[in-house]
Amino acid sequence: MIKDARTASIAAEGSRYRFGRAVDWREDDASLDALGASLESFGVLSPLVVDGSMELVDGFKRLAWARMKRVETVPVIELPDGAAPEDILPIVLNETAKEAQASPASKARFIAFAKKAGAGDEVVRNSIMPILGLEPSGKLMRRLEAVSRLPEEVLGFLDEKRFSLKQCYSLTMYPSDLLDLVFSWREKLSLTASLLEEFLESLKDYLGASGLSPRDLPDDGEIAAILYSDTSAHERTRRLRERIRRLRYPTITEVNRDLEKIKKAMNLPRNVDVRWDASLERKEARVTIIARKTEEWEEAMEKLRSGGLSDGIKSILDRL
Amino acid sequence: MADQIRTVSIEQGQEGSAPARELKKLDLRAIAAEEIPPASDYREGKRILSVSSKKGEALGLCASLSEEYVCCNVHVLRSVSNCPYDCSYCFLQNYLTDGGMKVIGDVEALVREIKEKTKDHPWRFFRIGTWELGDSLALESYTRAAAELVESAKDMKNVLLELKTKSDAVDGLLGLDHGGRVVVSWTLNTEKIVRSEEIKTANLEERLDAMRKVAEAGYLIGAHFDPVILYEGCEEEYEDLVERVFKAVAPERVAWVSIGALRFNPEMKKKIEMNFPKSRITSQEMILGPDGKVRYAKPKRTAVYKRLYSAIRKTAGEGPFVYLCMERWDVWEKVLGYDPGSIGRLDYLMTKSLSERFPGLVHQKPDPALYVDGLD
Repeated sequence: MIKDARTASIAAEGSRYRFGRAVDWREDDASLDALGASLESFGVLSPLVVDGSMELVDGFKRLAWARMKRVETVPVIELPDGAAPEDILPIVLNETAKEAQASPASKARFIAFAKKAGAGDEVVRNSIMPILGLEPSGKLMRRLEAVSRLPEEVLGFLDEKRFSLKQCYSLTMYPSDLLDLVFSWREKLSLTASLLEEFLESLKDYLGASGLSPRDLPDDGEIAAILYSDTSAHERTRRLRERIRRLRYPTITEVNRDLEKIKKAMNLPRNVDVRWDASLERKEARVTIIARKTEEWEEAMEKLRSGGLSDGIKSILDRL
Repeated sequence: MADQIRTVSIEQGQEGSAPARELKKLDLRAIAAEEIPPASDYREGKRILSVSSKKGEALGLCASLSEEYVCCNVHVLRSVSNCPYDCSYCFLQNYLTDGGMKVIGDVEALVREIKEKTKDHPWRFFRIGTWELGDSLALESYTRAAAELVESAKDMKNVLLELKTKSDAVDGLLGLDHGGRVVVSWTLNTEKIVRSEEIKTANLEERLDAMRKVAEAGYLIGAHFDPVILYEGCEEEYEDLVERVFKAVAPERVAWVSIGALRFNPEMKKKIEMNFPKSRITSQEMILGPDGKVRYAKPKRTAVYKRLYSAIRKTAGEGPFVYLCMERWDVWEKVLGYDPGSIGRLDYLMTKSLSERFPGLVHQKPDPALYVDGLD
């Protein structure tokens, strides 16, 4: 039944059903132009929806406009006392479908919101998840809940970068202080989903192996110097990636450095190269010669016959 | 562990088998095979024990065969599947496709298969382990399935059975007539790793006590320092471990010693981290090898192998055959000073060592040409 209610008596800010909807009217928001014009012409025609305790379920924009215009009363439909969440939440979802379905992260947010609004597991699985285009599975629901518990800044990033659900869920495996730290670097870097995961995984392993905590990382002078260097975000990201790799793979880095020194001492002609498996697992050296002219070939062969190259290759193989 | 198993499932036709008869003596809830939970609930599966018939082939080669990493060419008899223990590094958490633990009740069928397959290569000496998909003895106090196999082994002249375990459940083996054809071996690790990563297993002292008991009962012994897990100060602790092992048993009774480092499929990493959030074993400096497994960077594992190998030779002398499990030929060279060249040759070298050290064990003098040409 439709009745008039005082705008002041309707709870919008603290409503359990708000789900991120604005409670203030913003005249500079172009998306509100059409609604604003209609409200200016006719006032609030469609009733707002409230629950038994006057918590606003639907009509946040209309209420915001009415309050801005100091309209005393608005028409409302009051849902019966004790209306079940499975009846109320689809109304919310109807108005917020675009935001709720925008990305896996926002779907996760909606699942968490529905549970907070009182929906049980079964309701979420059977009534909410299908509307969000999700398979009604308990495992998926638990994963989405885990995603929803990520820090708000992280969720915002996941939304912005349109991370897949798998990528979102993988972030829930990292300690929250590590997530906070890496996300605090975000403005200084050029992060993609795969780079983000690489940084988190490598740093988690490095911290686990060294017994350090994320709090210790800002003390790493090299990381700080990279983050605050006067260069592009792309270049900072590249250098940070190298630094993190060195932290994660200290032995491999050291041995490769030694191997590079050996190679340098070999004074190879420009058309001869020596390579090895940088992971150090395979014991093999690959010598390549690029010859476009007979002289280049002869020069390379002469070098190959020299003791310097032979000794260098032996040293590389010994080190591997 | 005695109170861990709550439920049993005995396949129709297996009611009269030795494991089923043993289980009937216990007050356990019985369920049908269809009620066994899926593998995703793998810890719940460790409370359920089923006795089943042998389905398809149970005897095969160790699944670790790879071109770049040398395998010892051991055969495996899949007589048990899954395990009541909860080792953080266990590959079963990412491998088994059904829940529950399983023992094959029909031991006679297993023995028949062994006899049929081994008779095709009468020149060959077969090492056969029952540990590929589970611990050989962890369920023995419930099932006596291994005891049945042991009693059958004495009649198989070109077979040496290996029971590998992290348990101390050996009492049921002590009075058996094993005919000297059984190696009881232990997976051995430092106290720290046993405590933190090998959950619910027998502690080190219990394993060494059990080792003493079976050695006194005439069994041969195997020692597997595998997986070696790196942490600060681990080298000294592995050296101490070697000393304790050879204090518990005389090197003359030790058939073989293996060394291998922690390795796993890449997808196992997340699984370990999820199932064992306190474990740090996945954090070390590891690389993805050409065999698709993640393992410690080669310089790191080579260094620890050298310490272990040196400790073994210092403590046990030149007697026990020492090999590296799933290692590269160049790591063999660096650690043991030679490279077996091929899996057939390694198989031959192991058989030769057994033949020379334990007269009468190997049915005929091993012929290197047959092992190398016949198996590679």
